[in-house]
Amino acid sequence: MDLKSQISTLKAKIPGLLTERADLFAYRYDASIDRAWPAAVFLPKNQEEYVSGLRHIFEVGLPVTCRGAGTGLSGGSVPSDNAVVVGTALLRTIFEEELPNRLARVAPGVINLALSERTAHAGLHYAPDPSSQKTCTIGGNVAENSGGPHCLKYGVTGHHLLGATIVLPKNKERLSLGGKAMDPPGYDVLSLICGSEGTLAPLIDVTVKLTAIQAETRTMLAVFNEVTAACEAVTRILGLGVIPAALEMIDRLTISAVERVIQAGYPSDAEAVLLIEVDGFQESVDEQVASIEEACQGLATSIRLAQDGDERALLWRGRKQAVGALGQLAPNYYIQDGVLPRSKLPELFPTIASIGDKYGLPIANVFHAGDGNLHPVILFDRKKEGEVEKVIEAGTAILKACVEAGGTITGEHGMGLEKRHAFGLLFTKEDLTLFEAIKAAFDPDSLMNPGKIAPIPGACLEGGRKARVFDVRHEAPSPLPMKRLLPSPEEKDLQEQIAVARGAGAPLVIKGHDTWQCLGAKGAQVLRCPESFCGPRDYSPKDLVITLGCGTPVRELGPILAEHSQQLPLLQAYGDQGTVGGLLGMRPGGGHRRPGHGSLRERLVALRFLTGAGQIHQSGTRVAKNVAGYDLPRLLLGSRGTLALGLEATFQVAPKLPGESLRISGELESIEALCEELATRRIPWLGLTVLNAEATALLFPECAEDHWSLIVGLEDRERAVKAALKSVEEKPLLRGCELQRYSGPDHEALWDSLDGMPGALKDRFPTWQRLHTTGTEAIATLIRGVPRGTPATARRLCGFVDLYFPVSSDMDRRVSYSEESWLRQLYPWRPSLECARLSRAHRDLFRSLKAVFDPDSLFPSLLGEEKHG
Amino acid sequence: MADSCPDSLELLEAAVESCVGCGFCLEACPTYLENGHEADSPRGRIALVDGLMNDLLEVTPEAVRHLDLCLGCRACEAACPSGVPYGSILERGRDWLRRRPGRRKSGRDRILEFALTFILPKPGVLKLLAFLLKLSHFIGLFSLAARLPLPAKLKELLPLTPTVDGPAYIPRDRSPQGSPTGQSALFLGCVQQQLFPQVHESTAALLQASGKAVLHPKGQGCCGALHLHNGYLDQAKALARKNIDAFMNFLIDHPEGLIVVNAAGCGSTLKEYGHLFEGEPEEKVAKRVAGAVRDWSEVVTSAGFPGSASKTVRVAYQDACHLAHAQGIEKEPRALLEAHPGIDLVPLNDGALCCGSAGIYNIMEPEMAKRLQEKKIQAIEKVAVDYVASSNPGCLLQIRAGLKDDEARSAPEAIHPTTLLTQLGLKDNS
Repeated sequence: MDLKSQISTLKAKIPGLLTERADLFAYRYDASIDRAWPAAVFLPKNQEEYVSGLRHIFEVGLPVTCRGAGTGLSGGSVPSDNAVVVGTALLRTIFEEELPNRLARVAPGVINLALSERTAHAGLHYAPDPSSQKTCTIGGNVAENSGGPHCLKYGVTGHHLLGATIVLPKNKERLSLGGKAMDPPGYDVLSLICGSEGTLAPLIDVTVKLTAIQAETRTMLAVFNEVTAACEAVTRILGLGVIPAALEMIDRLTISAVERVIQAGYPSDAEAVLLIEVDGFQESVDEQVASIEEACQGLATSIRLAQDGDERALLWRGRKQAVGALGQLAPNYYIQDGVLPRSKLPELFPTIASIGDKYGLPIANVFHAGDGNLHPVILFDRKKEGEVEKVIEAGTAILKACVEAGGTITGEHGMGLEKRHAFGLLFTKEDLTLFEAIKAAFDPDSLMNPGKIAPIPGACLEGGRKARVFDVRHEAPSPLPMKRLLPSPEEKDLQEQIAVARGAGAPLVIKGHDTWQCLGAKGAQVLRCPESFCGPRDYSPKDLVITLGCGTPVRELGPILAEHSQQLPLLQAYGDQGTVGGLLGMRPGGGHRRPGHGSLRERLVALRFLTGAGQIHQSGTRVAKNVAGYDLPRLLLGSRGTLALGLEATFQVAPKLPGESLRISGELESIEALCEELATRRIPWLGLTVLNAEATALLFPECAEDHWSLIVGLEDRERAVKAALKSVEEKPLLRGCELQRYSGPDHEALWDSLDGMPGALKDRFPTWQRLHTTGTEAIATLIRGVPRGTPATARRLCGFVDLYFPVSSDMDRRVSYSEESWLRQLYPWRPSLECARLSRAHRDLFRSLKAVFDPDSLFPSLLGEEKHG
Repeated sequence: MADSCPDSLELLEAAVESCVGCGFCLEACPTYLENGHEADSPRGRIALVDGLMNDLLEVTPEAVRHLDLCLGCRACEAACPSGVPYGSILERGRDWLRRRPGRRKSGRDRILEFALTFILPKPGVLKLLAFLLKLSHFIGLFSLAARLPLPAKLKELLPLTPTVDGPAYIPRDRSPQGSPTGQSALFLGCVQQQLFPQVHESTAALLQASGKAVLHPKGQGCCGALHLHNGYLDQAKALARKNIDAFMNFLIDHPEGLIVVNAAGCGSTLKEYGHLFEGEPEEKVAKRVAGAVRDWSEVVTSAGFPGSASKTVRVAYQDACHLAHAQGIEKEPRALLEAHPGIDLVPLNDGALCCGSAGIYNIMEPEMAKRLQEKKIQAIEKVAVDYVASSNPGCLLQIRAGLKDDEARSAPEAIHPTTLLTQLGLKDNS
């Protein structure tokens, strides 16, 4: 069928399909510099129309480019060749809003800021805040894994994503990924979808976390005479253990543009300003301000603290509209999005300036300095002869410089169309093959936004295909040569081992210290990290990242990091015998400190791994933000050794803050009431955990019989912790309860003992499961669902219940199991228990993904479907 | 007509070029919010104008349709970080489209041209219309018409027919009350003078109470807003020249004098006379006149308000687009309403979103206008007020037509803020 008849067939099925040239014309662009005509435009009015329309388009076999508000900066929503643009602008329903559980399920066209505005009355907001948040859609944010100024402290879109419903192009079926509780069983497909730039599957709905708005916020403007001084201040601020809510740099050229339109109050004679925001508990905020002032001493010429909400809003308006304001200085701009380790910032600025000089193009800088996420904005006039080519060359030179400095080429805007020629800067030929195979597992006919992220195989790579269409014609940039990855001798040995196993059809099992007692096929040979992968490989405290060999014993880490007053929370959980690789493979959920510290999913930034196909890949780099290509580290996280062997992992570390805890023991009723009351408080949480009577008796034998316990953990600056703790202790509900404070090493030990409980009780209770449910359900489940005699704990702020039960028990039936809660096997891991309730569609997808990484099924099956007897 | 067309085209191109396509304007646009269609958004319309001008797109009814559907509310300008002069793009773009050789006039164009040429600039015709309106309301013609088997489209327009709100306004000069603060010239306009004489009466009273002398320069007339917005630049300029002459005379006599306007659409047009004549000989005088133009709320003070009130009324303030977006005046009228002891000002959800009136848009594009009107009425009904105050005659008519009594309470009254303030009583006449 030719395009014309495909469109007319489609038109018969979708009456509202737009095909007039005037209608199509408005869908040729997004906020980037690329342009291409769509074949048709479809604007569904509701979910039913949306889903059935998508199915029709897939049936006809036309490509689909989904589009939210078209604010993307990399051409992600610029139509692929012959694509039908599916616009979600009218899909703005908020389906569910569970404020006590801090989550919302929304249609993809819901506007980012609208969700925050709607939930503000409950003290909640949707934390990721791209500069375009007034108009950009949550669906678009998920597709691009968008960031924003406040992602420094709160994390990017992916960190706030709980679930999504997609339509699988492969079979046109709806598929729910995740849901309301965290850490669903199976592969983390949600992380793969997030940032996939619409190339895997269309989003039907999205479930996101809502975050408590902090009690206090302070916004400062620090003024600098030199850009390098501003960069130095950034490093010093983070070095003092302050993670500001936002840390933004704006350079002289940008200031001049902003002041022309907005008059945000940025001094026009400054070389750079830093917009710094801190938030949190009152006492903490004051101390953070003091630390920042200290850090800027001798570097900044002045620091101004916004005195009221209006001044604060104005300072932010200047930042958020800065890029648009640059439109005052030139008719067009080309915005780059490279990321580099923060400590390299001072080196890179002169490089960018010299690139600008070389090409005769002014380059403005306005960016997320705290993340090291640059936004050099190249100003130009597309109507000038040859200008566009020059701009792309200059942009590519900047990308190269970022990669050479150990960074990446996109932190939040995506590869889209505009950076695909630079794919080779970061990826190898093998990576490309892997990406294509992953895409095919979802979308074998390549209907979803084809031609984005990576160069089109066999076409663009040779520079033959006219891929970029500008209003002013210009040559498409030829793709840069692919990176090559050289395996070390040890890695070559591992590859050899795989090759032998593949040849013999012999099963393998990946093991570290066997802490998790994983099952392999009978007689499976053990594959493990060689000796040289045991121990830290690279640690730069200034950049808050550490690279570890996956064979590193977890217990070795604490002391190394403590030397620099830093920590990598989460690693100490469940026995100190385990290895980093084991922890990554099993992804035990983050422990009881997850409310304060987050989970491994939020800390892992890069992974080097060996697949069952014998290929070594390096995915991600030593920076916090990176949306180049598919998110493989997170897909492999928790894949239980069924896809690949982890070799080397890079994590974001955090400054170590003092903490204190309070144990409250008493009658069940008081504990329950207190827990619910405290959960709504805006204090610097580390964790809030309930222990049932059995767990209380085990950990605190001194407690009265039948007493339950509540552990309140706080972590922040010392004064803030003390003040917050005091405010907790003043609760009238505490009367009649037994209180015990823990500080210093006792505080650490208390939380370690909570996390270590399953390991410590291994002899008495050999099998542990985790129940994941929503926050408000957690405590009720703990009370109702756990049989007497079994110690169990529940994390209120995260909505997990850790509980013990014998495998033969009826626990599985006692808990309500739905998309809102799931049971996961903690250890020993038995796939049959964990994956029993996965739908056929999930199983199919997981099998296809497994075949991508491990085509010969050398490794065990996640679903317990062993090929080898 | 002696119009420098190439200059206008250059200005249009430069304005189009100033859009970087960031899309920050989308959520401010009432028609985009309704249709979800990029081509019905400010960024989309600018792209269309760009495409049409650069021959990337043929001029088709479909393309022009997206431009026609623009309300010209300019909410996008307030949201724009690049300072794109959207209003000017729309006006000059429509003008350029209209002048293209070989254009065929549609029925819509013909009706529009008739109104712009033979009604608005002619005080005599307007006077006659006002008389006919009064007569028709008196003999119940409109309620009769509502029962006649007329086409549904025509019937939908019936509620929009205005009533004349009081006795004719006599433009005699008035002296200030209390300590004098300067001279003001009241801009009389076209429709406002004939159909809403009460608004002029109240504005004059408020100006007097604020210590202003109120003058009425001769020779002034229609500001040309509707001509401008619909792309009839020559006619708008002709009308503007008349007003510039009339008010220059006033400014020569009173260099510190202010030209006070009480209709938002006229105010924004007068304030932008300088841009209208950009690059032309009249630019300098046009700028001088424009610089003296003020909305009533920028001049009136609370000096004349009583110290206390016997009763309070609940009032919602609806931003007139050409006041809030085109002139950036949002705080002043609210502050004045709040300062009056008899007023309890309640916030209106999405108060800055267009009500669908937009000059004569509600007649030219009744379907979209009705959708926006319904949205606005829903927001008003939610707040349960006695009055909806708005500073533009069109908005008042549009809101009035949509409001209906329900079982619990009678519909709020749509009223000009000046009328409301004087009705509630000023110091001297309370």
